[in-house]
Amino acid sequence: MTSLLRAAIAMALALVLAAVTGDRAAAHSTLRASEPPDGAVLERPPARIVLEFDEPVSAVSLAVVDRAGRAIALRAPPRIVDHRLEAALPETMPPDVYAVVWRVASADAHPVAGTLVFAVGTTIPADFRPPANDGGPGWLVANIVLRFGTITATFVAAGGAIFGAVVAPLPRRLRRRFGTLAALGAVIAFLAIPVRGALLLGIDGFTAAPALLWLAAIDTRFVAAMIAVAAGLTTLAAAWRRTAARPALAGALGLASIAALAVSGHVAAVAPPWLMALAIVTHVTLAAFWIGALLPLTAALEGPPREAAGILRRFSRVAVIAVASLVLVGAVVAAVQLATPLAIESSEYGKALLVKLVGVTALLTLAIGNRLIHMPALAAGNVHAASRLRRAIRWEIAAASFVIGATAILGLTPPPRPPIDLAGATEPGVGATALGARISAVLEVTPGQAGRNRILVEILGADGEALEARRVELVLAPAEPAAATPRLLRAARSAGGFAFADVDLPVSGRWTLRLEVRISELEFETLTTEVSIR
Amino acid sequence: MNRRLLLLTFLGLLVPPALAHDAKVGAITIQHPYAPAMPGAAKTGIVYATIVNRGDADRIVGATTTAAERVELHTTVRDGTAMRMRAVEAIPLPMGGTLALQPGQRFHLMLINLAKPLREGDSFPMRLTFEKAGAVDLTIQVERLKSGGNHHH
Repeated sequence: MTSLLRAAIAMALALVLAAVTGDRAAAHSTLRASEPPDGAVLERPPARIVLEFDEPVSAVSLAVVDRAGRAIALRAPPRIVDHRLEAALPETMPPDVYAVVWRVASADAHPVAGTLVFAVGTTIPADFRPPANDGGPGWLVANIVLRFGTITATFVAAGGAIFGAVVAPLPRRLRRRFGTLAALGAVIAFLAIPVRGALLLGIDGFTAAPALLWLAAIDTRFVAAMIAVAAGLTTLAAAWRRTAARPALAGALGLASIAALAVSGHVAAVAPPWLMALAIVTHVTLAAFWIGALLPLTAALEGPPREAAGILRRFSRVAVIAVASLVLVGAVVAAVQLATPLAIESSEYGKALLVKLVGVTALLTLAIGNRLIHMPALAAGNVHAASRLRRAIRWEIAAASFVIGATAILGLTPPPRPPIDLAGATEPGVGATALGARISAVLEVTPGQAGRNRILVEILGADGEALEARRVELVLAPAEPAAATPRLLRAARSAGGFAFADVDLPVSGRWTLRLEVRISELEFETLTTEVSIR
Repeated sequence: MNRRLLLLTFLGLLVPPALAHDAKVGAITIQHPYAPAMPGAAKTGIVYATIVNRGDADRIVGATTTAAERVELHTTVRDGTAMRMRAVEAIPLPMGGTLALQPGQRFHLMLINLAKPLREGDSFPMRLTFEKAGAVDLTIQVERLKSGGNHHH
């Protein structure tokens, strides 16, 4: 036991070290950047759409639609390149506002979806409503229910198998019942695949072909893990059908099923990744052992008291280490998951986490009560101790259900959607125009605040079209005469216009901008305008 | 003589109805001002028009309408391939020039905080003020949004 304790402490220390030194973990795959950026207004259609994520993702769907909702045919199917989803657009796209409706799946088959809006040759109305990209709530509920079922069946059956291997062999009656439960769990785990596919596709009702549902998640770790869980539980059920107990084999199969279940969920991308995966597998295995022990303990308490006391004593010795490690690893995993900017993500996540913690606290309290009060009473021969213990364990079963339910919800909480930010609308800056006899000018001062600014100037001809002037010089002066003397600046050309970088406007208030424009060899004009600098 | 004068006057009276939807102030003609119908409970609208100036250079310095809380003058700033919308204090109208306040063009009028949604078939009044030519009252028709492209007469 001391060597086991030492091993547990060593593992816990290693995990704490990993959490402290590892990179910040992303709670779920999120969109990092896109090309074109959301809300961009472009002169020419972009050659391609690129969506860059912070984790490897698999593509579920991508569609580009115009304002009327008509789909634009892509030049080639969208493909995944590393952390990016890329799609090639046709060479010509008429001036319009377009929406890219995209859906991807993270490795744990968590749906990530969004809509990217851009315009070609026109403006985006401030109240533009992109098409919806959300599935019906029914599929989310279905997924949570199946996840709950998978975890419960695996914990009870496989956890019970571990109990049988480590504490005391399971009675025949329990082996039969758990065998049925394991078979049921295998079916649920298998069915979780198309149900998760429906969630990924974002469908409402049964609007997708069945094949699509099975294939939607095919590139994710989730599918492989669920198949492994189903296989493990099926084999466990088959092993238990025999009359001989074979607790070691059952325990090993149980462990394998639980490990597969553990990696089907979200594994934060912390370096090194295998350490975080190990932490989660440890956490889930210990939880499965603890929760899986509840029914066998109840069964033991229904039997002869001396045997019951022996089993409980053996369980309790293992459980103390198991529970301590479980809490420690759980805290580390939670801390890593939460130590990210996005992870106090949605209040649903926070609420579900709170419920889980309440359930865990209840479980711990009951377990401590059992250890300190009821078990000594049972050993002392107290006649009521067994029934009190059984009642306490029933409460533990209830608390465990809470914890599993909260875990299922936590795993499927949709990540927050970043708000659509129309590029021009929020970037600070000031616009101005200037009028001359033959030409006019459009100016922009960014950010339009006292300090360093960038001034863009475009010269327009009488027809309102951009004019290629030879040279533009800018003279700046604050409107109040008391301030600095006017300064003359020369411009650098900038794609059809003129850009003055690093212009210092030291005071806020009205500024006079005088443009000396050399239109051609023979033509020269001076334009004047004013801007308000904050 | 009198009959010819009468005939010419009569013919002259026929002409204005054909150009009823254009407005003039001084040497400036505002052709076909319209606002695209906006879906749903839109709070902003846009007014497009083609403004032809046969006189001296002038500027649009403001506009008011009962259909919205205020009207902003907007320009498109081109920065490489990116474009940004900026509010400006005036829209220039060069001497002898044409100003196209049209989708995809450099300037347009933005209606902020619509009093009620713009539905196809509606119309509302707007007063457009030029720095030199003065103010002109327009009737803005609400039409179905044409995807991109300019409106040609």
